[in-house]
Amino acid sequence: MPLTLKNINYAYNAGTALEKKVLKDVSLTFREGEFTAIIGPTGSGKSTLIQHLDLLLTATSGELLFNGENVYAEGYDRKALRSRVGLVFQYPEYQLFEPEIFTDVCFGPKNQGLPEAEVHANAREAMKLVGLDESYDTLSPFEISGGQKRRVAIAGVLAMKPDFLVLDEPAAGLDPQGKKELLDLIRGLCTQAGKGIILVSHSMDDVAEYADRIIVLKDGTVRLDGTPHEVFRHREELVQMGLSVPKVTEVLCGLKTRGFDVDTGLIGIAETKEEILRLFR
Amino acid sequence: MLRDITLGQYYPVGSPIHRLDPRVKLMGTLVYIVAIFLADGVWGYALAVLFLAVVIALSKVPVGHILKGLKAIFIIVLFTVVFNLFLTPGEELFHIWKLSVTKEGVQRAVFMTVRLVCLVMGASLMTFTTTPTALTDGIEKGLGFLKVLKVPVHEVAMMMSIALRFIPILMEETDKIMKAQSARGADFDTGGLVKKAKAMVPLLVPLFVSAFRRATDLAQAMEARCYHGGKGRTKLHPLKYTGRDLLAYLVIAAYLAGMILLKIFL
Amino acid sequence: MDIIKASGLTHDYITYDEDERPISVRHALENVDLAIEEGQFVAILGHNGSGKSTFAKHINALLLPTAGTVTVGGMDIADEANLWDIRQLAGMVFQNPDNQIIATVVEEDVAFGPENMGVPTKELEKRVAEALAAVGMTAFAKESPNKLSGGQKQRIAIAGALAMRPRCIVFDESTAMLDPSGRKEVVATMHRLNREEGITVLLITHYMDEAVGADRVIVLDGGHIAMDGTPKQVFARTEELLNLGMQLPKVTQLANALTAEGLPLPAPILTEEELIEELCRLRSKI
Repeated sequence: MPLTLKNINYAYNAGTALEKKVLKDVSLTFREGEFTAIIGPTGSGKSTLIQHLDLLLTATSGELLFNGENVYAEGYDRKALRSRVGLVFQYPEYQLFEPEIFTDVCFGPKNQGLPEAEVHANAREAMKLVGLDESYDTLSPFEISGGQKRRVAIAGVLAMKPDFLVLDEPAAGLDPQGKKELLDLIRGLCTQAGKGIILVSHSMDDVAEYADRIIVLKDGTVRLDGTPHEVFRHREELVQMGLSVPKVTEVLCGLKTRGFDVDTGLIGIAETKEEILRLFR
Repeated sequence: MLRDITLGQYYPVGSPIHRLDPRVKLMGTLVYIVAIFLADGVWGYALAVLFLAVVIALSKVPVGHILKGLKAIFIIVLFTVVFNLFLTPGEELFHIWKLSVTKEGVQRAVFMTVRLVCLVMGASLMTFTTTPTALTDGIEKGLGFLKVLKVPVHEVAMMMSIALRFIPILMEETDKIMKAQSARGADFDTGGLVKKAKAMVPLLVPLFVSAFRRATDLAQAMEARCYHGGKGRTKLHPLKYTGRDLLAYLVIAAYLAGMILLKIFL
Repeated sequence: MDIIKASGLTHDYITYDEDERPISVRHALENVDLAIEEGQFVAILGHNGSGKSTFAKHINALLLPTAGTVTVGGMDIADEANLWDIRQLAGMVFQNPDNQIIATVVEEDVAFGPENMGVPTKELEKRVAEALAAVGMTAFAKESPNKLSGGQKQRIAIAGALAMRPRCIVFDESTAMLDPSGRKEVVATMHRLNREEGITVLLITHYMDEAVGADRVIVLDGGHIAMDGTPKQVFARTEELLNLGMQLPKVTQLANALTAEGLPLPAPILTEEELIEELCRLRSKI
């Protein structure tokens, strides 16, 4: 069931002298089973955009459609939409509050008003999805490692069985190992569990490696939207926005300026390797 | 909504009021607050409003910016107005259902509103025109005599300054946690008192955890920078009275005298 | 000359139950011997819990050794008489930009350290001006820190350390919470201070590309020094690094892949420029 933004505009202090437009005429469609990354410089409207997906913010104008139905329409069950779209904020471990991990994960489904057996079943499944078994149930969420805390927090959102999982810089502050494990896990939620993933990130290397599609936001408008290969072809544009391209792409671009005929639109290590080897054959 | 609370935020423009010694501003605010309770007639309130208006004009802080700080007390003002309007006995003007509105009630409601608004605007003007550090310097130095009585003046001043710095940060954090828990289906708005109180747990626990974490971090950062209490500390901007401050003291004294005279003779 | 010298440094974190009886002991650092030469730029890597932050906090005497000794500028950190001298000599910049700014105006925050040391007002003004200039934040002297970006806040924190005229600054994961542009400004500032002011920099980080620019890289694991050498030496030991939970910089991964296919590249290659240079050189030989 696709989630569509249609000409979404959003402004702080709308209608006053202090009006500040944050989103301008944004139209996008997100699909299940697709890993979409949103990139953009600080202040480009990324976090405002993702808060719209979960109805934490309501557009000043425009439509938000879930499965073709206008969410902003009178009588639409907004609470139900929040169950369909799960939002994980930056440093989500700071929102844990129950003394035991399992109870914390149950918080979401309990709020959905499900019967207890179902609450428990959904929480259990969510914990399994993030790779935490029963032995974690009664541990305190304040006494486990940073990476584990973050898994618990993500399980807390997954327990509501959303079709879409929206994450803001989920790997920030983790060590390389923890970061890789978490991103692999998120990729798995997309490929195996079929969730639609919408991920805000600052790391070009990460999005090049993990995403199916990249949306570039700048000053509240969508500047680029396409596969990583398509997007990272626009190096000059990205650099102008204060963004960059993956490191390996940078190497190809460097070779190009030195007069070598290479394809500068490659982003993976394997394909870049092949392209460079071509020069030597 | 939470970001609208502007109380305690310094407004960086250069103005005669900004340049005053914080001790003068502290004293001035104190006198202003006391004096407004002396007002009991149109003239008293008029003088108080006039005085505030002149100071605001001198301070170059936009009126709109100061008015934003009033949103925080809107409910209190509303309560005051309603209570005074309906519960003051006297000459009845008209009545709604069983409640009568009296002439005295209207008058008191107006006066109380003016008083509250002046109080808040006056106090917030001080924080708009004085950096919290200057303010705490003012408290530390202005109230330094209390040290003789074993009052930890420096520590209190430091605590205040830190609180002022972290209030906006914690406000924003509250907003963020509320949103995050709402995303997990938490409902902060509906239900009875008990349900609402219970709904605060998912907000308060993370907020406290975070506040304690910040406190530990900050204590460590302060220690790392050689903080060891007020003893032997010097100041980048030590307080020194100038002619301007003396003049301000005179104006404040004149204002107080004026309020007293109005109370006695009108 | 060694500015920091740890010998047999051990630090245990002990948890106590309600009756103050110890229930568990975790060795965060075990018998670490390490000397850091003045004027160097040293990066310390290691996964979470490897002991790198614990080590950093000893340099500023925020933590004291359970066993062994640490000297900073020749002074024993365990001797309380040295405390303020050590903290002046070794500045510290922490992870969270918000939680280390004390004052509500930038210049007053920068002055906080020297104020505590009792530096006279005239001198304070000079130091604050110099420190802000050194991090390129002079224009923000009168601003509120709340309005600054993460990178700018960290530069203010650096200025705050600089104003104490330190010989060494420890960066305890100071770039972890920043976006790429913020990280870039902060790392550039570190290098400038190291190069131009001769300040010893100890950079604790998760980012491999930040370690690449250091004079020396130390990898900690389980409270021990697992690797120690120049970036070239350390990043050449691929297998070991991966086993320690580290990752190679992307460019190094690419270079290694090319080497595996038979291109005679020197190992390891750490920057994009280097790889481009080497490839051009190889190509010209064909």
